[in-house]
Amino acid sequence: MSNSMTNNRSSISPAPVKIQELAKHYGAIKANDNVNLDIEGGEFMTLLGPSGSGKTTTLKMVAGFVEPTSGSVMIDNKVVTEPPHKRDIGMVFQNYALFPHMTAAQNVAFPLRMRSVPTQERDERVKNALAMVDLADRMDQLPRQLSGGQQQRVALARALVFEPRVVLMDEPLGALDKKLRENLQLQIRAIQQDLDITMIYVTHDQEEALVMSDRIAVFNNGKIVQVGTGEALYERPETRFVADFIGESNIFGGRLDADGSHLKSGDLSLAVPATMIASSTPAALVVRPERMRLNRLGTDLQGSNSLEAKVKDIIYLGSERKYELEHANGTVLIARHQVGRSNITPEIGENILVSWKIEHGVVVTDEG
Amino acid sequence: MASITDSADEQNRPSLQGKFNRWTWLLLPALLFLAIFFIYPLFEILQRSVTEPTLGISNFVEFFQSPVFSAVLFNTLKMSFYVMFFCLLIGYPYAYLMNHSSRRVAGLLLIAVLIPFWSSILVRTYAWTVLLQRTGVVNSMLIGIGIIEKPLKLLRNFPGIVIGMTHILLPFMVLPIYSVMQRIDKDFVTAAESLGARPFRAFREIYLPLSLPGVYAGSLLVFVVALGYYITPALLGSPRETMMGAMVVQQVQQVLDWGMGSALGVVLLITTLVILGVVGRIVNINEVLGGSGGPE
Ligand SMILES: Nc1ncnc2c1ncn2[C@@H]1O[C@H](COP(=O)(O)OP(=O)(O)OP(=O)(O)O)[C@@H](O)[C@H]1O
Ligand SMILES: [Mg+2]
Repeated sequence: MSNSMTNNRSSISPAPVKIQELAKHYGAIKANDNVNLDIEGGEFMTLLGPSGSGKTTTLKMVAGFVEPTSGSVMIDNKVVTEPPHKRDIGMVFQNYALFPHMTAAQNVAFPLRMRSVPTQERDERVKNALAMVDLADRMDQLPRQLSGGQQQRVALARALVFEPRVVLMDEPLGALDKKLRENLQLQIRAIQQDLDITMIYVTHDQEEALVMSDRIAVFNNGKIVQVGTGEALYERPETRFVADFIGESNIFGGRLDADGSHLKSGDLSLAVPATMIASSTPAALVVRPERMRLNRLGTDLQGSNSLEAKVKDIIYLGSERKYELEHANGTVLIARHQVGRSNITPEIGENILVSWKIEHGVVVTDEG
Repeated sequence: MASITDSADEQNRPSLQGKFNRWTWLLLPALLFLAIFFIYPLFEILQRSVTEPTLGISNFVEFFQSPVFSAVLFNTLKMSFYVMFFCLLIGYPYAYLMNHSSRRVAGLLLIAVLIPFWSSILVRTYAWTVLLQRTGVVNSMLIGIGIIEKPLKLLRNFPGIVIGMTHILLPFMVLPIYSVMQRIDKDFVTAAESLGARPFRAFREIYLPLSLPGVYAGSLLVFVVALGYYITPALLGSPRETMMGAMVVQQVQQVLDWGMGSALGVVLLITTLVILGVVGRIVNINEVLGGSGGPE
């Protein structure tokens, strides 16, 4: 990977993007509804959410291909209203959208030709961009003569070569196999940091989001439900949806009691840490599997919630062991432990006491 | 030319070679049919063109020496070219419109272009004679909106033939172009615009080149089909615009010269083959006619 492109743009500072109350309605369908998002210059922001949650719609409104029903997009502190070809935004599509009748080099040269960059400089920049994605030796090949991963990288070079203010990527790795995907995730992240580019990246793969992003905006039903770093979303989810969508969780749905110290979930009453959530609203207690401890029956546990449960299954995941536990009322719980790090190693069918420290639970709202 | 056909098509196609022996006999009726109704008459015509009235190439010598016959061939080529040109002029935007409208509208447009396929040639051609005559709808309309003062002569002449033929052959232009356009990923143009191309530039540099296989296929079809057309030129033209097809009929039915009629047919056939051959050198015929492109 070369740094040659860094020099060209050292003087340009990356553009912040501000999305304000953006909405897009198709008749009764609200593809986007009141989306607000502040993206700093040079930030890697990932839009994460299930299929149909409105990620692509947001991206297209930023790019200018979809006219918002209301709201606005600001790039570099100016509201953008120009047609797409004047927005100076690089875009990478899920299917790459490489022009099939042009070679890799011609594809990468396309945005420079549109900007009437002189031939000599153009050739130079095309070469550098392709070298950056390790494809210097594939200049003259047509897209169909390249592998999926290579096509992806040509698309990346094409979106970066004209030094756009912002780069948008819509599930650019969706069509690739796992190994290649992981490889390219790191490569894209490295280039983004190297060139100091503002990036808006769409995926519905939460692992990918965690690996690549500075921050993640979680979408559901056309709205952003939470924005934060991967760690914040994982450790401090605000809604049940986020807790469920990011990582594995044990979730107890119910209501807080009057003083907010316990959550009533069916016949269980679980101690919870202090919370701002009102006692009347539906709430849920979230506990991550690695926070769950396994104990022998009869162990005295202070400052923890504990439930008796039967070991239903033990799954070996290499360095980890995953326990599936079932409480008498039918609630299924999951615990995960590094091999050799758990205090007991029960067998399938054994009855044990599963527990977690009160402060390791997170209370979330149970809506949206 | 870029192949935009899916390479998966190729893999899904069952291999004929392996099963050739076992299934060959199933092909027999079809082969027999072809032999009796196509290859035999063709042979017959080839034979008659060099045996009647005397053995030798006298018919062909006469053809190329006679100013009348050469003029007919030239006229036919000219007419086919004009028809191809106007079909393309109307057909390309038409196919583009079809491909860029809602399903409902696209369906209606498709039906509109296919109607000529579903009605008898004779009926359509007579309909044109009604529309194009001096007091016909076309002339009244043109006079009505003040474009012309006196009615144009649109019947029994070259323009009449071209108008009628263009209408009848339009589906042969629209359908191949439309089918190629449907396979062009909409993201290509979107990508081009995001990379800084104005909409028209994106069309010219991306969409147009990718739709060319359809253009070639449509043009070739229209041109070749027009070469041999008989009824429409005969009804909408005058003796001055006699085409090859009509000439063959004249030779056989009126002059009763089977030899010359056959020779005319052979000349038409060879002309067609030459055109296919020349075009085939420029573009991959297989791809143009809807098959998948050859190997790299
Ligand atoms: N042109 C359109 N007309 C009508 N509805 C649309 C249109 N485009 C999108 N929608 C709807 O808007 C919603 C959001 O679509 P969008 O493509 O933004 O989802 P997404 O988050 O990108 O999903 P995916 O992960 O499947 O790509 C969906 O319900 C979709 O059906
Ligand atoms: Mg999408």
